Amino acid sequence: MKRSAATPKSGTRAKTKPARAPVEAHLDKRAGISPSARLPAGPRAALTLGPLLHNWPADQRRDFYFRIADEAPVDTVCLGEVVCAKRAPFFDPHLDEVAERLIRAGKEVVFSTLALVTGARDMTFVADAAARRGLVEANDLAAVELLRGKAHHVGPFVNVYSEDTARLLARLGATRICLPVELPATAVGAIAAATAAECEVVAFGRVPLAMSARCFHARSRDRHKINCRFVCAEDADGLPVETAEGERFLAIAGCHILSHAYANLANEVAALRAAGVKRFRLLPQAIDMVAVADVFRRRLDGRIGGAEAMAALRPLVAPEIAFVNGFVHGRAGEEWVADSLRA
Amino acid sequence: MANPIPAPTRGPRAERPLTRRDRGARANHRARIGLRPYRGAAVLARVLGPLLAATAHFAARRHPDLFERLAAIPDPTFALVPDELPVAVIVRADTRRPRMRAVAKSDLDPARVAAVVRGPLSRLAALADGRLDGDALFFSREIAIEGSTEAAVALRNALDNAELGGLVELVFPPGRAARLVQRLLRLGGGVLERVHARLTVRRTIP
Amino acid sequence: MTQAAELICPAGTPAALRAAVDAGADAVYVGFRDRTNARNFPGLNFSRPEMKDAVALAHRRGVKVFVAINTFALAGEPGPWRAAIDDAARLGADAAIVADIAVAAYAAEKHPDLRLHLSVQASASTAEAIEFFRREFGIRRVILPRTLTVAEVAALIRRVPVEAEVFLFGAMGVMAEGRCALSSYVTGISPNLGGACSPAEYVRYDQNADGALVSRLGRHAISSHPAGEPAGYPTLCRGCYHVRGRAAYPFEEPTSLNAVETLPALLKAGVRAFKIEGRQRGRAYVAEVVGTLRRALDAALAGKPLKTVDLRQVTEGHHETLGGYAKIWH
Repeated sequence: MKRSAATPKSGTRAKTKPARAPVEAHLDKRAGISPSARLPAGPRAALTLGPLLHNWPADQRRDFYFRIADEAPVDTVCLGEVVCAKRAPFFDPHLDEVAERLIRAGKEVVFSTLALVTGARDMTFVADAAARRGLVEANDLAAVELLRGKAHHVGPFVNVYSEDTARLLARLGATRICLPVELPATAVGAIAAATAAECEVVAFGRVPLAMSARCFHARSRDRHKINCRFVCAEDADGLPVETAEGERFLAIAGCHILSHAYANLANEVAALRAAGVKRFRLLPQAIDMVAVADVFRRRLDGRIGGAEAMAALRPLVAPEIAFVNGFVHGRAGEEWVADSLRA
Repeated sequence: MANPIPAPTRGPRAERPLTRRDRGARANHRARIGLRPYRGAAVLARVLGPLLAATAHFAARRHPDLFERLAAIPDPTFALVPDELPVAVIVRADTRRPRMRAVAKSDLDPARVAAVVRGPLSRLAALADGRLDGDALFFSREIAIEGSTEAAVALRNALDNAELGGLVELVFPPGRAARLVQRLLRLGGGVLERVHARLTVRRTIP
Repeated sequence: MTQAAELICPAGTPAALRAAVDAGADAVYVGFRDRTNARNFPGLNFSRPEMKDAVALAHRRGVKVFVAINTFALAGEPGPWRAAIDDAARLGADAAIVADIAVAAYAAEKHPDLRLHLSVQASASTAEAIEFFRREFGIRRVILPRTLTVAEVAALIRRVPVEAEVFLFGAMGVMAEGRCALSSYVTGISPNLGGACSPAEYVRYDQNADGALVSRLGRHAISSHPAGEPAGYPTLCRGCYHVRGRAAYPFEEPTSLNAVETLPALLKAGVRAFKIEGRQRGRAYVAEVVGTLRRALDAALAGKPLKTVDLRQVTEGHHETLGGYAKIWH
């Protein structure tokens, strides 16, 4: 069915909506957002494919990025190793080729740096990354210090919780800041309004919650980071951690701890856009990320509403993986809040 | 796909259900010491009433910071339940009008207090003193706490800070009189503990 | 080998502060009773009047007071953190321990004479990150994450022109501090913004029929203690979970740092301040630990051999570790 850029009539939507939809339309209305959730006029909101946190085989990773280049409606792709410097040598040979392919496809390429820098080897790795030509995203204050005075990005692992912090980092050269996953929408809006730097929010994927100098993947096999034999390569989407009562809770990705559930802010992007967020980040998971990007692109363009986006995303993710959106609502991260944010 | 987070609720009571054998033993025990069921507890509670009320009054005057720390939590009421006595002491740590009273254990409703602290009298007294670390007592399972952990943590921090050199310092300034009363209380407590131990030795506890 | 070195001791309450001072602390670190410090637990910490008395008492005894203002200010609500910095300066604190860029910036601008120490919550484990804070805000001392080896500590001290303070004893966090959202994922209260990890309001203990005590954070079972075994506080990273179908402590066992035996090496590396963790512990803990470690530090400073320090009965989980200071810890 051909859709115009203008607001589709609710009758049209009714034919394609799933059975639950009338309730959600009512909720949308109650939250002050029309069912079609027209996004505010202005520059189109952009999509970033965040850095990969998992250790995929090099050729699989390369092919993934080739497909992203060819098919995914994302504006920016983050390359670079964020979790563990030991992994980098496997993909390094492919980096230039992948970057080139992405750029030829019209994507912006950003090089993300390590989130946690421990030790001299890590620091050398970060220093090399910071010295690259092109855009670099700092995920640790060591990188921020090295990138001082040069235009750069700041990633969600740097604690930018207030306007003052954002402004200071912008003064040092940050032109884009991906905000910490914990921040409620009110804080996000306040920061976006206070700084010239472009603000970005993580909208999809396993939520990075903590990180350590200790490698939890290695530990799961009674090894240490130093002799890990790359246990992390065993789990393409993270190693699930359940409570003793069998509840799916967390996931291990090297030295990071992620949520088991995926963040999914398809219902919230409209309100965040209105609050001044110009970009949304999708974290790569071992699923069809092209399809995920497509859903978010259609949502951001106003071609589909929040409920329809949710319905399109659900089958793309394994049924035992829940969606969560608590943080942006100022609640526990693991909560799922059905009401959309007020725009 | 709702993921509700339940509000903190109270845990189940720590005691295991009574068996017939226990009830028989209890009845024997009461008969032996001449108390009719429940009446003794109620009488004791009433006798302790004025003493506890006075304690609360003077404690509030001598240790305002104790109650100020406890006032940080909503509804700062606690039940202290010694194993050896048939009564529980309920403390309402309201800074304006703190209150202490005793109730028969059977009349204690855990839902009406923020936290219930159960344990041997000596351990509860040591907790109040700060002689033993509250964390150590709880984690070594010598005392059991039910209800709001927030209230329990506030209680533990408030008591730790109060530096009571014994329960009597709730009321008396440190000195010879306080030490004498404290020694008498300890003696009494020790007697109670031994009596209680003798009477319960036959009960098999898992 | 006589060099000066400070023993920095935790004080969660005025009583604990007195215990620390009596036991030989060179400095105590404290927090205001609000979310500006990373131990914001019910009934803990200092009101403004208590802080004033505490500073007076400590200074009379020649002990310094550092005020921890080491959580992160939230957008739109800078008030509590600015007030904490203002009051710490006004009440004569010897230093403020900060982690947030915004808080450090405010302190440096409004109270240039207030000494700033960089909290471990700033997650600054490299010379570059430390240099960032030194250059922007003039921090004079950095508290190093306990994940560094002795060799790494030594290398850092050679490179950065600030004082170094390291942890000697206490509960150890494995996660990069100040950047952990585990607790807020479950409770909605962030340790970084609200100052409480595994906040007590969300902690529950349930007793099973078989006498086991299950500790929970929110609805999640974090650890289970069979009848007769000691229990613990349900800190998420110390919990017992199932990984690949087996029960395990995938992140950290309940354990505590005791790095006393590395004292001589740390002193040689140039460390001049040793920190004891434990503002949430009681005054009995403070008295015992500070007293013991005071003697250990004095012995190390005098070049005397160190006696083994057994503080296991007050450590969490009754286990001890050398932590990051031992090379193969991670």
